[in-house]
Amino acid sequence: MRFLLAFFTAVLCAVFGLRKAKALTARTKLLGFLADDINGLINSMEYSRAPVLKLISSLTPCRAESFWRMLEENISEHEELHDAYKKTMAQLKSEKTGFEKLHEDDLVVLDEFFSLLGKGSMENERRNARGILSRLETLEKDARQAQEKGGKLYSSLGILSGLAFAIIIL
Amino acid sequence: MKWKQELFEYFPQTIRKALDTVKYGESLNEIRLRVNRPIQLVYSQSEELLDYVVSIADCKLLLGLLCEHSVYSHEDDLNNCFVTLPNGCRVGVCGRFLCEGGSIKNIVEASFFNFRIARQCIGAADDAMRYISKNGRIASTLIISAPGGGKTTLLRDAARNIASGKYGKKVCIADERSEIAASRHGIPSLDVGERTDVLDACPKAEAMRLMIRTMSPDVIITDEIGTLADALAVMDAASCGVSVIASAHAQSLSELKQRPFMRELADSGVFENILLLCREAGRILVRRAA
Repeated sequence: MRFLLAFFTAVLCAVFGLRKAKALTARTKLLGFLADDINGLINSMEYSRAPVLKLISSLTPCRAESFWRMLEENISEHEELHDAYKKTMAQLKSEKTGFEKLHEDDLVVLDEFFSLLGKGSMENERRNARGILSRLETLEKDARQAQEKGGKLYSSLGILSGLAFAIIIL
Repeated sequence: MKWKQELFEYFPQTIRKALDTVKYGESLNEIRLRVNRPIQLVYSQSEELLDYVVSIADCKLLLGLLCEHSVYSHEDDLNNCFVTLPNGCRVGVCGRFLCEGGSIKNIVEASFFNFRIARQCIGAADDAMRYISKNGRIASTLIISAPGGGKTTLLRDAARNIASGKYGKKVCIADERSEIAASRHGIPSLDVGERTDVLDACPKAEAMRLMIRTMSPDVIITDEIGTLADALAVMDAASCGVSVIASAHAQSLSELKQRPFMRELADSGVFENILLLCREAGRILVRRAA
């Protein structure tokens, strides 16, 4: 009985630590994906001048696929693009698709981008995208640093504390 | 009503609701929306003011819907104060523009909209064709009338007539403001004839020159000429053996001749006909002005 309890405690602690580390990786990945896709969106916008919905549906390569597909669906339902974005983000968070790992700072930047998307001239779109991309880049860099530091720390701490608890129990 | 179905999807819910209560018995020409003002419906012989007052939020939403949430993709049109919808309806847009060095850079706030209902009036040019066609030849013709007099409708039907059926000529339309063929993404949404090519959203003087060089037209049709460049392009086309059918804003020939460059153009003999359009009891009548 004691052996079983020790085993479960060790596993629980290790899983907790690894999940924490995975959350950091997920955030870094998502920020990178979104930055790449936004860059692609603005490039094709400049080249074709096609409307936003058309650009989103033909966005290739699309790295944050689930986000853009859901946004595409929601745009037709909403009169405002920003409302469609907000609904998409809420849905993705509730479905636990990894977007719940984004920090408040990340969401502020994305929110700002989508509140201005499609509302100005090409020059304004370019300027808006440039600003947002540089902020996303900074956030991604911070996230990567946090991942490198915290990722290893959380996973090792999880495993070590699990082992420590197991030894105490035994 | 086909136009109603096609147009209503561009209105925000609130405006759609207000417009849904109207019984459109008479032919509707314009729907005018002004911020903090009631919606105005302009019929061919009357008008109606609805109770609903257009809000700032309505205007913001409306611009987004008209541009498919993409102002940049309609930037050039908006800088000329209009947007053309896929059904050919042209929406005039006014408000506050951002200017730099004397030219429009971007629309900042859109607060006034004029939805002009584009209708294909088959037969609108039948009267005018008596003057335009001379022994199977198409005579260069200038059509004049006050704004809203039916010039564009007549030009569109003239293009359809000349490019199909018994005339069968190669027609090129220099459609600077997408009004004649109501093109969207380069595809005409109204019938402008079987042998018609359209150069859309290009300055008309330049468009006329390009089309003569590349499309070998028999007839060039263009709307609202008025500048020196337009006058020179018309003369150039006529000297190349191409007939030109054009329109200009003026209530009479004397009024037309008061405008710079138009006197020279009218007196140059380039146009064999100058036709005046006038409305009488809701009908468009064609008269020879000179």
